[in-house]
Amino acid sequence: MGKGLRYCRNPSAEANPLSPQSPKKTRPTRRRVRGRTARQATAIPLKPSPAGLDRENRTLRLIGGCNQALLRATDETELIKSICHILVDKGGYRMAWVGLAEIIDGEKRVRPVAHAGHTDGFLYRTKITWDESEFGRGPTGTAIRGGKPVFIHDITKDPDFVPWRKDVLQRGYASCISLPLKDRGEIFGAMTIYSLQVEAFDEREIEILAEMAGDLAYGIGALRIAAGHARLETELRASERQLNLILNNVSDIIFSISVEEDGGFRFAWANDRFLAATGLNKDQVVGLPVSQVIPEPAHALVFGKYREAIRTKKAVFWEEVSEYPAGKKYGQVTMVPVDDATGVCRHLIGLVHDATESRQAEEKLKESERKYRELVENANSVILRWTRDGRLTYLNEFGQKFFGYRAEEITGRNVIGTIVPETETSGRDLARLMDRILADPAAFEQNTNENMRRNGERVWIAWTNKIVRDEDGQVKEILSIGTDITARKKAEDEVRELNQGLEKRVADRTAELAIERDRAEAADRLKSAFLAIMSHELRTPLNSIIGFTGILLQQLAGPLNDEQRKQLGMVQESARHLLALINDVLDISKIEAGQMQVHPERFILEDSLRKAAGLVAPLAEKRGLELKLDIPPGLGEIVSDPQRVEQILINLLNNAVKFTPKGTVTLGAAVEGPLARVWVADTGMGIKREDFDKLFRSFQQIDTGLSRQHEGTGLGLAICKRLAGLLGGDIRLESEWGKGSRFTLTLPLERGARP
Amino acid sequence: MGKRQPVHPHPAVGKGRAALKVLLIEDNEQNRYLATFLLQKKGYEVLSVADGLQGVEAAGKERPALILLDIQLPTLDGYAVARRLRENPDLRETPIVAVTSYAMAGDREKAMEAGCNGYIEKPINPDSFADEIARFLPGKPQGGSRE
Repeated sequence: MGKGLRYCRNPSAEANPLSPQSPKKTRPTRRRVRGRTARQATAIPLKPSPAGLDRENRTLRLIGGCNQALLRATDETELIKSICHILVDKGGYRMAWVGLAEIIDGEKRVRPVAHAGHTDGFLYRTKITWDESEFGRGPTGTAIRGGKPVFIHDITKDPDFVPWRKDVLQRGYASCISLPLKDRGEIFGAMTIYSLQVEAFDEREIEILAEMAGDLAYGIGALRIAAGHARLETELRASERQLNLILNNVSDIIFSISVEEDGGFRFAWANDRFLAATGLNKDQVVGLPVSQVIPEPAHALVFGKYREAIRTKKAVFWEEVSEYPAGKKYGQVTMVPVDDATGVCRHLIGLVHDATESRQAEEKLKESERKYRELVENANSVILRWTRDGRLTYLNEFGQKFFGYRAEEITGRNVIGTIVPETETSGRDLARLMDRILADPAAFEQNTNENMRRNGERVWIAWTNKIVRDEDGQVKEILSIGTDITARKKAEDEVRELNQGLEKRVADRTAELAIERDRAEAADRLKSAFLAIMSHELRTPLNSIIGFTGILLQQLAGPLNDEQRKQLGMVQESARHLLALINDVLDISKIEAGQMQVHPERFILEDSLRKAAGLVAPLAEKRGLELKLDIPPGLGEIVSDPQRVEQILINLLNNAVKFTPKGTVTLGAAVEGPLARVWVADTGMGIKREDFDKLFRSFQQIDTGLSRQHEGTGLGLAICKRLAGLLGGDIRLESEWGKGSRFTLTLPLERGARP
Repeated sequence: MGKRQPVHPHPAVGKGRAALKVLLIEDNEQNRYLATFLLQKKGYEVLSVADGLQGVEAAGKERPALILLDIQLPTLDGYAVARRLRENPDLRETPIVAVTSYAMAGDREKAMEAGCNGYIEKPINPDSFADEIARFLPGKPQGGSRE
């Protein structure tokens, strides 16, 4: 807005300045208006005053000055000041001031903004209001309240002037007039003028002053409007800048479209985001047909939506999906129709919001929700949720099939009595168990219990329980996932029963074996005792038989004839055989009972060989056999049990002699490394290969066809083999049927017995 | 009539030496008779008793040169007899030879532990018995004999 008053009611002085505005008004007649009753000044017709030409001139000066002030005015206060000065300087009044009606601290106060003439500052010290109080009943307050001029012809006589009378009379004011300032129906203040003369204002004067007040009020109003416009414009610019800032910095695309007369659409404006997205600059965008930016296939939809917004006069929303190399993009479009003053839609405001992320998140959520739902529904597990008071709130499809309830049949019911029996088959109190789980779900993350199908069938389920909490962290529900382990449980039970059976059988068998072992041990002890007793009891009579036979044969009791000697010899031989048998049986049983002891000592091996050979020599000689010794010189010493070594050799030599009809029996020896090898070879009948093993067994005399022709207990070789083992050696046999045999005893040189 | 020549040498006369006294502790009558006969024929004086206690008593009284001791005996078994005999200082050096039909493992060791010097298993060999016991007499070389 420019300076100066555009809205001046009197932009130029008219030909008749006394009636510038209202041609209908008749000229006011000069007449005295009396007292308060004559306050309706405007209603009084004015008449020209024949006597006051100077007064007329003064009036003209007032009007002229006032119009000039109005024309020059750019500031409200300056204008008011000017008017006050004109009234005092050109109008000749004692004092003039203007106050604005304001509400200060809830009180209707009149604020003096300017004055002219003599006041002594009292104006600004005194209290003037425009309410009903005594301070508001003065001319100014009354004028503002009433909206009409108020004049007081004689201040000394006016009862309402009490608050200020003293001050005013001191300054010589005698009468006054107050004129309301009114612009476009609103009273916003008053102009008050004081005169030194009583009854100074006549009708004509009042009329002119009222017109001045009207002009002043109009001028103030115009100035105020101008100031308001300027402020509005500034604010508008700031607001526009702010709006642009917002529009260009939001993540959404915003644009406006002008709607052409022919129905076409052109871009009128677009924000930076739009430019960035399209790669266009601002100049290119303005005036660009929308059809050049929107791809052809979308025209029908998009322009349809535009037209819908125009037609319905309402914002239209829709969503667009665009395929880009980087993937799908979702846009939420809003079109807002903007009508002009005549109600015709000339513009559309468009807004595109990128909903890709939220839509993708939404789709992902939906997808994941669908997956989980599928998973939960179709899982081969029972999945259910139940509340703290035991009521079921969810049972998945598998669970419904498994238990035999449809969701709507079971939801809301207590688990006890439906899927959980009161007690397990074993008698366990399941109702109590459920209470315990509910009381402390964390302690029952895993539990296995019996459950019940609708048909009453009992099943075993292994449960995993999880607490579902609400936003406040309170336990809301329990999520339980169960696996049917009925078959496994059954198998386990069977295995357990089997195991228990097996354990029992093992225990039984162990007990049986223990009894058998005890029996065997008892039998063994009995055998040992029996052998000891038999040995002892047989020896006692044998002592007599052998002893007395010997005495008789020695002829200590008298001479014998040949027949007697021959027969006693037979008795002696039989008795000795019996003794040999007893001794052999005893040896075998000693060896087998681990009671045979060996006494190792260092001795010359050759001595033992010669001793054994010497003992057998008489028998060999008797049978016409050659007994050969094949002993290398320096055979040396050996650590072993000489008695046992000799026992073995005598036995082997005796056997050789017994089973060799003719030829030679050789006793040989050699040292090979840590071993001594001693052998007995004969030229006898030999032994068949298949009889080798039999030979070393107890009571086995191999069938030679000559059985029992050869004396012997049948224990000799068995004893020899065992004794050789006791000495840490062994006996081996080499033989060829019909050509002879060779028994070889191997002994460790430095070892007397098995460890 | 000329001088009567003894058919056999008399044990009491021997070959000019006094007969050695052998105490035989043996409960079996036949065995007692056998051993007594054999040893008397070989010139020993044999004193025999049939149970352990009598044996201990007789040994203390008679002071034999050698004691033949059966193990299975009434009143006191052979091991106990041997131990009692060894308690008597007069008999501490007297050879004791166990003559027994106990032939099980450990029997020999038990006899030796009880104080016997030798161990002869029954049945005795009538051809060598006298020689076997002679080895335990003083002045003869002493040596262990197994069987």
